[in-house]
Amino acid sequence: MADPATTFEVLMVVLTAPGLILPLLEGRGRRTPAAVALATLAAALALSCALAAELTAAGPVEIFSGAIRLDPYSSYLGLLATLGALLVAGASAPEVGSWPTSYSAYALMLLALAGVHVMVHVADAVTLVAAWALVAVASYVLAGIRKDGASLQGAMKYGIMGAVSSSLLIYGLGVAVGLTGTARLAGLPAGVDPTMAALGILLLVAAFGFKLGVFPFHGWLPDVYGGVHPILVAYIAGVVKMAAVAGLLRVVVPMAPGLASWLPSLALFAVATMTFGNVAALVQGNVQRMMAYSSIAHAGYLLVGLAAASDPAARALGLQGVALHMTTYVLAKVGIFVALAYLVREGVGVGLEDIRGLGRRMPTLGAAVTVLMLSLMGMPPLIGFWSKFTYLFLSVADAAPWLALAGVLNSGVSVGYYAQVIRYMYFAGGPREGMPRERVGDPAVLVAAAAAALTVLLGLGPAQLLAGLLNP
Amino acid sequence: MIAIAGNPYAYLVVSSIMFCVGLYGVLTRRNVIRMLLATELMFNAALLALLALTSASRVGAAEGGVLALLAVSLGAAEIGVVVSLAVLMFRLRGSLDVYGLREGGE
Amino acid sequence: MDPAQVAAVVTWALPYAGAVLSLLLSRLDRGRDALAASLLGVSALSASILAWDVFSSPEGLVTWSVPWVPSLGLDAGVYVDTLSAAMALIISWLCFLIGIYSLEYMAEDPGRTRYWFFFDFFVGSMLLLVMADNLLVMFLGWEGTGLASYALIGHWHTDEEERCVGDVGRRALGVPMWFTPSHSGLRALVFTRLGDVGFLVGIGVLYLLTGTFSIPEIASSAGEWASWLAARGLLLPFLLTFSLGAMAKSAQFPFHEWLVTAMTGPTSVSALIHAATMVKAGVYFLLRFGPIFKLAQAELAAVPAASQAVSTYFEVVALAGAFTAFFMATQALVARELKLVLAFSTASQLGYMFLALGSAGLMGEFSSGLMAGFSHFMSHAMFKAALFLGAGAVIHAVHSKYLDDMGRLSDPMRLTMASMLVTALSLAGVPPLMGFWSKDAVVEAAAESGIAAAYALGVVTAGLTAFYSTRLVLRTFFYEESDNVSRLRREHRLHEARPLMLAPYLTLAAATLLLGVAWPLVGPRILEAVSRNVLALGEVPGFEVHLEPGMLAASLSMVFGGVALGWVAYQTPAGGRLLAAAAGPGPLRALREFLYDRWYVNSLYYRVIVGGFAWLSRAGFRYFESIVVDGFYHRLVPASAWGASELGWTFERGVVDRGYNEALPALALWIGRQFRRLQTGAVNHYLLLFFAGLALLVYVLVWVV
Repeated sequence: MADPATTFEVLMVVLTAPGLILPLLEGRGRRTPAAVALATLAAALALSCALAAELTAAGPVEIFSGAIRLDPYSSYLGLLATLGALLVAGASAPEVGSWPTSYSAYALMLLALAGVHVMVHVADAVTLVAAWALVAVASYVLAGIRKDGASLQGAMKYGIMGAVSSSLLIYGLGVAVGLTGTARLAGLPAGVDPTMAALGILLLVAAFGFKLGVFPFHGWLPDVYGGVHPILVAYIAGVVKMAAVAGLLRVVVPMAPGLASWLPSLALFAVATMTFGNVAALVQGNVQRMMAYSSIAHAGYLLVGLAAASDPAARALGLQGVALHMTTYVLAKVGIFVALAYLVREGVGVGLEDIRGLGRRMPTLGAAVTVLMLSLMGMPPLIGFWSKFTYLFLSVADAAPWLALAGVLNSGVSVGYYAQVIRYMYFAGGPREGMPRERVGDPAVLVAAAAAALTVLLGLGPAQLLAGLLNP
Repeated sequence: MIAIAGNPYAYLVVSSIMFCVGLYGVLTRRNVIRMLLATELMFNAALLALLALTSASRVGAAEGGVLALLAVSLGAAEIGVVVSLAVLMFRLRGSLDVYGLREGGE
Repeated sequence: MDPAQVAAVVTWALPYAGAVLSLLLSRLDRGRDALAASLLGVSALSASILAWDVFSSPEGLVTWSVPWVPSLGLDAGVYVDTLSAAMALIISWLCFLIGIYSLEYMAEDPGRTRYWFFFDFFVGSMLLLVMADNLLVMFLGWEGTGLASYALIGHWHTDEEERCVGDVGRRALGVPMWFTPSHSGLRALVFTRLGDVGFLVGIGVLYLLTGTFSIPEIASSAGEWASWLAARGLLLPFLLTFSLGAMAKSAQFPFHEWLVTAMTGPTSVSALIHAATMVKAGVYFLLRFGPIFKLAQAELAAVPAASQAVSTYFEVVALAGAFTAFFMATQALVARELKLVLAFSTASQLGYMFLALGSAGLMGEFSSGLMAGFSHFMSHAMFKAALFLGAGAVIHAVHSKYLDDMGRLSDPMRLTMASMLVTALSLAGVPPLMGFWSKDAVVEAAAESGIAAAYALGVVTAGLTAFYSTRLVLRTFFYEESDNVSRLRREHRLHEARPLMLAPYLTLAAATLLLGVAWPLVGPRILEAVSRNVLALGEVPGFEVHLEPGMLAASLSMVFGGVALGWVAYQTPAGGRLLAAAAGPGPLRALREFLYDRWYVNSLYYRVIVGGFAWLSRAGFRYFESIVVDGFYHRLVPASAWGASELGWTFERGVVDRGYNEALPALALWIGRQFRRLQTGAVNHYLLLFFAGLALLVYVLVWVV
């Protein structure tokens, strides 16, 4: 086993080199990009696991003169992102290969993941901006890679709002660097002006929250998630989102301790976001859009976990909750969107009416989607339950019981729409004629099933997961 | 307020004015390119504020400066990508009106 | 693991295995049905072994647990004291009998795979619930029963008209009063989920205060967490919130509506869920936690406010139970569907159990009230299951759910008639049947509680119960023959139920008769055995069956009066004239409609909550919309926007009134639709929302917080 620094550097090379070279190989066959991407991602997954193991054994390490700080917690997030990317790449192989822009699509996936890996470990504002820009730009292009009308409107809105939020990021970093006196991302020194600190935090939450889907910065999300091809959404929801979470964790959370307005600020965002997301999801007739609002709601839950960061006692639990939440979220969203992509490919639509009776014709897919929905709903003993439990109860129930209550109530409301999907799949009458049977060997079906299986397994044994996560 | 070298508030005031102008532009313009122009304005306002806020200490000023330079190029890259999306939009629709993109909404 | 522990695990695990197997082996068809049912039988046997061990061993306890999540201090396991053992025993045997009945009853149903899966899944969850040693496992079982009941109630989700509950086309206060199976399933889930929120909050609070989910540990530290809560004035709110799940699951007012429409499920499901088990989960909750609360009260005796809080809690439970008992009994008087009478009756009898358990907390000797509740649970489970199963046979025979299509069935269906007669009389509380003894115990407990209103309601309801039970039996078997029955008789299509269906409810009827007759002798011994080692209950003085003359006279006069009135109403010409008067115009009819439409509670729920929130949401959204439209100039239009929305609402009222037929989900749907309109598709609007929101938050957080 090498040392973490080397492993990380190798990982970065492994991701960026193929990413940069792939577009140059254009024209060498339809299967090449997917094959290259899968090989790269498999290697990246192995390296991520190695990195996580090394860091768990050795403890945090700083490299590049402190610009990157590798620690076990963030290496787990990187591992999750890589897993998500691998699952999406695997599921997308039969389909994306036939797109004219497939080489670029896979290249972008790899480069975005490289950016995510830097984001989760970043410790310096300059590096942050670079990594953030990489991920952002890659994701705008990825959203529009199909070059058709539906993707275009999504990508355009994403891009414009992203550019606007970048300026807020600069503002926020300005305040942060100004208050701490250095570009190193550390906590705030004692005795800072609380108004300035609150303003800085707000701007940064707006900038990162935009990508996360926090209300009121979420405007692009339903249009992008609802309009762009689901396999791309799987990537954006599963992997790119990790960058936003990482941003919050590495930049904003260290500023939390001792700041009186932290909890109410985040709590306000959290409640607004989760309520908006859940209530809006209830009226969607289209599963893809419904999942968009569900992502918004989950961003709200995530903020609850982060809200605990100002209280030293609850902080560790809150952050563990965030890690569990991302686990649930990546698995569930990747699995569900991959399943939707399969449905689109087979000619079945993604409306609620279209998935009537899906459980009968496509039992594996239906079961996988059901398990993932139950996990998002917070049904024990799936991993989704443990994550909700940790960050709702354990982290904030002490400091802000009303916040935990809001979270629980929102989970209750969310049952309404998740149950709708399950109901349409199984209990709402037979499938339309013409709905094909599933092909169990198809990568998309396998990926969805794998995600569901992981959700169940990790849910049955969360102890192992928790033990492996050292306090960040 | 945090200490700022030189005249403390002037830079921030200018930055705020620029930001508000940019904000007005991005909210009220329908042409994509104009919106991006306004966005650039906001971005530069932010950079100005960044430089002003970090100028208090030497280390901060140096690092803030580096950050600003890097942000300029990265911001250009970002806007450039969005412009290329605008080009695509023009090819597909023949117009740069953002209201034409409304079908994603409800 | 010793044999008793094995038995404990097998009892709840085997039905789950049965559920999975019935999915995997669905190709075996009838064989699979038999397998699913026989696994329930093995589970019942295992429960018997367990009970035998618990009752005969000196400690009276079987426990088993494995660590599940060490860092949270969470184990998964069972804690089977005499109470759990008794409940598991009764539940598992009842489920087995109903399973046998289902073999015949559901034999032609195309959805059998789903049915057996959820049936066994349900039984496993219910048994897990009553044997759980910690709150999370109990909650798992609790949710499992909820999920299964949703699926089973909506079993005939194709929503044919004859599967609905209620008269198609009937409205009350403008709200539709007929319910399809799929809608009913949703209602059941929503109402019980609402209560579950309280349950979950309670679990969370207890975990935070005690650091554990384990029920025995929570019991032993009752004094500490109760005093913590009491010191902050939160003890009563906590107790009530924690019990919300139980109230909803056991269909107490105001959560009673789901039980009524749950009759859309197959009758075997109604017997299983609404007589024998799921609704009893709330009763089990009180049986299990009542002693713990009482213990807390004892430990806080020095703090009058705290002790008073617990007493108030028990009063609330008792009054809620008494009111529910009365409220639902009035509705049973006029119900036209056979199963609906039984549904109302179930909720009413559950009210009795809550009355007993609430009164227990206010009586001198807690355990006697507790055991009154337990004995009524036991006797009700038996006779109500038998009534439902018999009703299923009758409905199957006459191909109709309406009492109007029955009458004079005593001839072809002698055995069913005998069974239903005995069990109905038990329900009415006629001595010496089991129902009499248990209801008498409940009423006595109510009298001792000191709440006059509760006692009075309990007594009056006994009379109502007797009346509607009599009405039920008479109209089904002895009343004038309906055209439907005449036609079937002419075509020689009326016949007794088949053996597999007949045997279970005959067994239960026999049980209620024999147990009732033998109760003065065996009753005290049974109750002593069950209460010998109950968590937090402590030493229990002996039981004896005694009848206090004054109260006995009151209750018996109500019972016999009710029966007599029923006889007069349905078997004599004078009664016939009275019934005709009730059907014609006049105050009697108005009263009848009021009761038939369930005191308009259902309609009020749909109108007030939906209507009120729709108005709020409309008005609120209109306000916001004018900001977005006017956004370029940042003009706020307060007064005119409100005025416009008032006008818009008046117009809207006509359209909206006709639009709804969903319950509380509709409220969220309305708000959701308004939220959805934020997605206009124009990125300028999104950015406006972005910055408007940001600005508002800046203001709030920097200047206000």
